[in-house]
Amino acid sequence: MALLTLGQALAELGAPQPRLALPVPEVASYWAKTGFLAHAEPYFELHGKVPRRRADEQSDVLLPVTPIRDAKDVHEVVGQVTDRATRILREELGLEASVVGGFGQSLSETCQNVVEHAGTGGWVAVHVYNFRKRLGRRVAVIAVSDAGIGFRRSLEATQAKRFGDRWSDGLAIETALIHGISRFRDPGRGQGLAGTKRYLARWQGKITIRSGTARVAIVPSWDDEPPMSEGLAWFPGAQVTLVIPGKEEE
Amino acid sequence: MNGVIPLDAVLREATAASYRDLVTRPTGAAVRHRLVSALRQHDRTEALLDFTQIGLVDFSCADEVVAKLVAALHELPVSRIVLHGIREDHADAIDHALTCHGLAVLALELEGGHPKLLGRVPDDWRAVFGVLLQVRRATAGPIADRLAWEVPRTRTALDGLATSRCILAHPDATYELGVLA
Repeated sequence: MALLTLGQALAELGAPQPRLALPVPEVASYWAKTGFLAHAEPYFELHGKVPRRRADEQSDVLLPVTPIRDAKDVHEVVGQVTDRATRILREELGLEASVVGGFGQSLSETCQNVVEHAGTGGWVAVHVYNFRKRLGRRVAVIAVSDAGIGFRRSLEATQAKRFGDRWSDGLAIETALIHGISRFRDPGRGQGLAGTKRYLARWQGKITIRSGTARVAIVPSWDDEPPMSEGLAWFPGAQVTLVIPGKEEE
Repeated sequence: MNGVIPLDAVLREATAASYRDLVTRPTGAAVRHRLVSALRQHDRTEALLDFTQIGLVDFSCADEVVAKLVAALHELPVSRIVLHGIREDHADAIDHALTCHGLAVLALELEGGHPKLLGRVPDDWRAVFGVLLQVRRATAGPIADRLAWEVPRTRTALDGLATSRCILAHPDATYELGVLA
C-alpha cells in the first residue's frame, strides 16, 4: 500500500516513472494475489516476470487492493467486504456479530478519511494475518493509504497557531487521533476516528497513523510499538493501519 | 396518526442505487434531506424510522441521519421519532453520534422490539425509564415510590425524557412510552 502511494505521489508530481524490480517469485505472486501489481503498473516501470494471478477467493485477502476516490467507492468497499469478511471474521477469527459490525464501521470511516481529507485518491486492502509471536492469534488488518495533503496540512489552518514553532507532523496526527479534532467546525465531525478508536479499545485493537515524517499509534498491551515516532523518512499523504485481533483461544 | 418510514427505501431513492448500508456523510445527508421532506409532507404525530433492512450504519452516517434529524425535530410537524429494528452495531454508531451532540432518542431493538434509550442519557433518566417500561403509563408519584425517590427528582427526570421526546407527557400529568413503543 505504501509503495503504491509513493508511486501515485510521484506520478501526481509529474516525476519520471520509477523502476520497480519485482522480488522473488513467491513474493511477486503474493503481490499479484493482493491486487498490488494490477494497480502498480501505471505508476512503476516493472522489471522482472509479472505473475498473472487473480485474487484468490479462498485466501486470507478479505479485500484486495482497491482504489478509493469518492463516496461511491466507500459504499462498494463496504458492500463487497461484508459477506465474505463476515464469514471469515466469525468462523476463522471467532469474532461475535457485534465485533464484525464494528469492523465494517471502522473500515468505512477509515476509507472516508481519504475522500474527506486527502484531496486525492487512495487505496484500501483488508487481510487476515497470523500474529503468532506477538499475540498468538490471528488478526484482521485494514490498511488505508493516500497520497494526499497529509494530517499536518489538513489541520494547519485551524490548529497550527495553537502550537507555534512546535507544530509538526507528529502533533498534527496526535491532535486528530488522540484529541479527536477535525478541520471542520461541525461538532459531529471527527466522530469517525473517535468511534473507530472506541471500537479498537474495546477489542484490544491497534491503530497506527503515519503521515509526513511521523507515526503515532494507540498501542494495546500485546504490542510494544512506541506511541510516537518522529524523524522518519517522509511519507506523502497518510497511511492508516487498524489491527483487530481474533478471539483468544481457550 | 403514526408513520413507518422504511429507511432502506429512502436510502435507495436518495442514492439512486441498490445500497443496503448507511455509510458516508454525503449518503447520510441525502437520506436526511429525504426524511425531512417526507416528515414535512405527512404531518404525522410520531414517525418510526425502520432500520430492519439496513445493513451497516457507520458513525458519520449515524451523525448525518439520526443526530442531525433529532436536532432539527423542533422544526418539523412530528412530535418525535422512534428508531425501529436497531441491531447492536447500529445502536453503537447511533449512540456515539447522539452523545456527541448531547441528544437522546428512543429505539426499539431488532430482536424482540425491546425499547432502549440511545445517546446522552443521565442516570436518573435511565432509572425512571426502567420503571416506565414496567408500568407503561403513570404520574411521577408511583414511579418515585418504586425508586424510593422524592417526587420532584422523579418529575425532573421524566420531564427531561419528555423534553428529549423519548417519552410522552400527557396533560393529566402522566407519562408513557407511547404507542410506537
